[in-house]
Amino acid sequence: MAKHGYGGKILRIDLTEQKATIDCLPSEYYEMYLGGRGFNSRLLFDMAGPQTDPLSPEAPLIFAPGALHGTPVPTASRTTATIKNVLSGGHGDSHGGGFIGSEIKYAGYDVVIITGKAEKPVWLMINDEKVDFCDASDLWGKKTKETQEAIRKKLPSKKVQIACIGPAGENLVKYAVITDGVATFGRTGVGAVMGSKNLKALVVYGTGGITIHDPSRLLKAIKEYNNIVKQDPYLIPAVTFGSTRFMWHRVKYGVHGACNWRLGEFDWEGLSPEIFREKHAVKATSCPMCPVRCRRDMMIREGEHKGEYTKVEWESIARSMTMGITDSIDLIRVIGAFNEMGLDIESAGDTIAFAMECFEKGILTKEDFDGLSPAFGDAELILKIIKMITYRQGIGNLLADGCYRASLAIGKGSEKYAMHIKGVEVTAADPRGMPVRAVSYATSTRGSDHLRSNPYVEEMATPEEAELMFGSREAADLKGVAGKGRMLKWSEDLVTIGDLLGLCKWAFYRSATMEYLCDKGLRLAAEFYSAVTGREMTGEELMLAAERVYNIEKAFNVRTGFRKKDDTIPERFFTEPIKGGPGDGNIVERNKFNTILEEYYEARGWDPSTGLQTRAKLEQLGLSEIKNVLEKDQREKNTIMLV
Amino acid sequence: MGKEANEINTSTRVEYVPRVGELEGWCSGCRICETICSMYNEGISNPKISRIKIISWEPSIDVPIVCKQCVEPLCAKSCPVEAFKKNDNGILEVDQELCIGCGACVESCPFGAITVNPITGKMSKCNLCGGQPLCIEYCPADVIKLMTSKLRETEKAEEWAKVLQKQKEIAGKKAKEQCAGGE
Repeated sequence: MAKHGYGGKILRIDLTEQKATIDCLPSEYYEMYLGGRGFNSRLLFDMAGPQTDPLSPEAPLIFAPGALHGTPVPTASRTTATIKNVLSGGHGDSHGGGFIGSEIKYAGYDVVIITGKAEKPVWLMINDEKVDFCDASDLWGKKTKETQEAIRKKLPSKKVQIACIGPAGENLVKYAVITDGVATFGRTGVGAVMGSKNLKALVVYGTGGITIHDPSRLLKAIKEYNNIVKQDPYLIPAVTFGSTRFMWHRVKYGVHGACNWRLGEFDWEGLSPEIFREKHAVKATSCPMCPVRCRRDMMIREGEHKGEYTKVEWESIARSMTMGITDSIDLIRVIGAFNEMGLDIESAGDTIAFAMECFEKGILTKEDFDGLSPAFGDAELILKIIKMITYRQGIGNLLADGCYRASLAIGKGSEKYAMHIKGVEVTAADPRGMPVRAVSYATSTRGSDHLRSNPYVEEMATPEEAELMFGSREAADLKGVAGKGRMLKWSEDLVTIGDLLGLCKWAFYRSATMEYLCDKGLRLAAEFYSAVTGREMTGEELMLAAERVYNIEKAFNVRTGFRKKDDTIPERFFTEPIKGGPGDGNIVERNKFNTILEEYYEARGWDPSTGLQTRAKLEQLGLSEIKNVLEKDQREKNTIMLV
Repeated sequence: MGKEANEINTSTRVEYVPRVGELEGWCSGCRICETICSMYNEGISNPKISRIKIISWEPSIDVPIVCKQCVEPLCAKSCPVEAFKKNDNGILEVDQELCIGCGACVESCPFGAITVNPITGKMSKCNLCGGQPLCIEYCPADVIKLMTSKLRETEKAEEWAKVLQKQKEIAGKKAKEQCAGGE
């Protein structure tokens, strides 16, 4: 009997044997981890260890739709794809807000686990319980949109959902993505793992459905959420401008991360939210079930490239600034190329910016770039480098391994221009001048990431709220230190709930006020989960499940070898001040960083001096099995992994 | 609205009414209507059995398709077993006991508005949720409306009247300018 809200089964696919088996997850996984990232993080811990090569056949690629995905719950559109991180070697996952996840659920599954490696390229057709391994030799080499179109032509029903890789994934570019046409699983190299398995596409058609425990209670809660969307000042511009509106935030604080994270002043007017809205936006579109509708296809309407269009989200604008792009038409062309090749814009943007700075500093020369002279903002050149990376030609072969590995191979002091944390390229805004954001990038369990937490609450919490929730009024001050570690822990757990349930971290876990945020993120999230599944949960219980999942990921990273010294940020942020703009001169002060980091470890119940987990904490969270694995490793390897 | 529509005595239906010229004035393709429809009418959430369906293609085009509640319903006329029956509200529904899943209604409906259940193979169509369609109530873009052809007729005529008025104004202004230029 399927549980309300869930598919009920899991599908294991072995590509080597071309075999599919259906079974069930242990029922305590549902109780402890709820779904999505929760299931995946535990399964990855069970299935991969420190010795597993992320691109080997035995390494798993795990898809799990969030617990509420596939139901009408607003913003419940997120699916987690989990791997052993290709860039960091630790925990890796990526989240997409498209239709592939709900289709997996309609086919009856809460998790799809793919292992092995097909002898020749294949695509998978999952039609409820039937799984076909289809020859993909005619698809291999095709770009993402072409692949989607070619598969649709082969199939009688248009209602299938397709997640595929582009040429970048086939060529094992370490930051290749998986895309389902609407959304992209972008980070940590999920596309490379799919490519390493000779798997071009996962196609799903599900005829079953999700049962809802209490539809009228659910409908009532949906109305409440919809009212918040209309009132929360944070979400109102989101409807009008989509995510392009973050430009105003970057301009306000001077945290563009422009030209490889150096400049706080940048010629951004050509990329303003108004320009995208007036000149390029086709229409407000959305992820499944989202009333906010922040997605935009951006089209070039005049000139040589008239008619070209692609999906542009904020982070693609941000990384375009990292590459020095100042013109919206250039941006659409470059982002279009990333999307078509199947590259992660975040990692690729930082890696290309790294290469440009190396050229600027004389570390790389014209010869390294086949006679080209890379310069920040040169779109034609960036398009050429994108091609070189995708097909691993010339210097592209080095850059395809990410800026960290490229810098190790290049040497000559290039390491200080490689902007990465644990091997994963830096994202979002410049953290200089905002110490807790720097720490939040460092503590993320999948390498540099701004979505693993929500330290942005410091911008809207009142000093009274900060004192009540995080023990210090200082936590409401951007430059403050006391209470920031506790705030970071709280916000990591809060947004993790989103990944367990499949709710959007933006529309659900960002707000203009603490009151709205807690009302949505805790009370309403719990209400939705209870109404859909019939299992009564409170916001606090959701937070506990999230904390559990975070601890499993941390344990996976500790097993991989990450220690306190790795919970850090690129040296540039500590030593080189932002140039220009309102944040001119800001750095991340090392003492503030360390104080917040230790307060964070303490708030997590970990050992502040080593950052390692404690036996007591793992037991308290019901993670004795995880603890036992660490104990065993510790004995065998004779290194301390647990305190 | 529903009551007034009935008084006008033309078929009341769910109609896609985009606000042309507004970026947020179109169906966004979110599928909230589909999942709520299937949950409410079929007891499970899956867009494939929703009676309202969103047809999408690139770039960014999404169009809701739903029963027009025709006055002379071709679906019912084509049904060999007379499975289309009016419910208490006077809305045609498919009797699941009688339906043989032959697909004649799917072929005869000019709008593709009949839904085929992929498991049972039987048909269903929009029943207006008893008078207050949930798709309308929960559409975040507010672009599907309860409509009758009679109301729509007036609305469309008004839309065109405004365009016509503008055209005449422009023509008049041009004529005036030309006269002025002739002096």
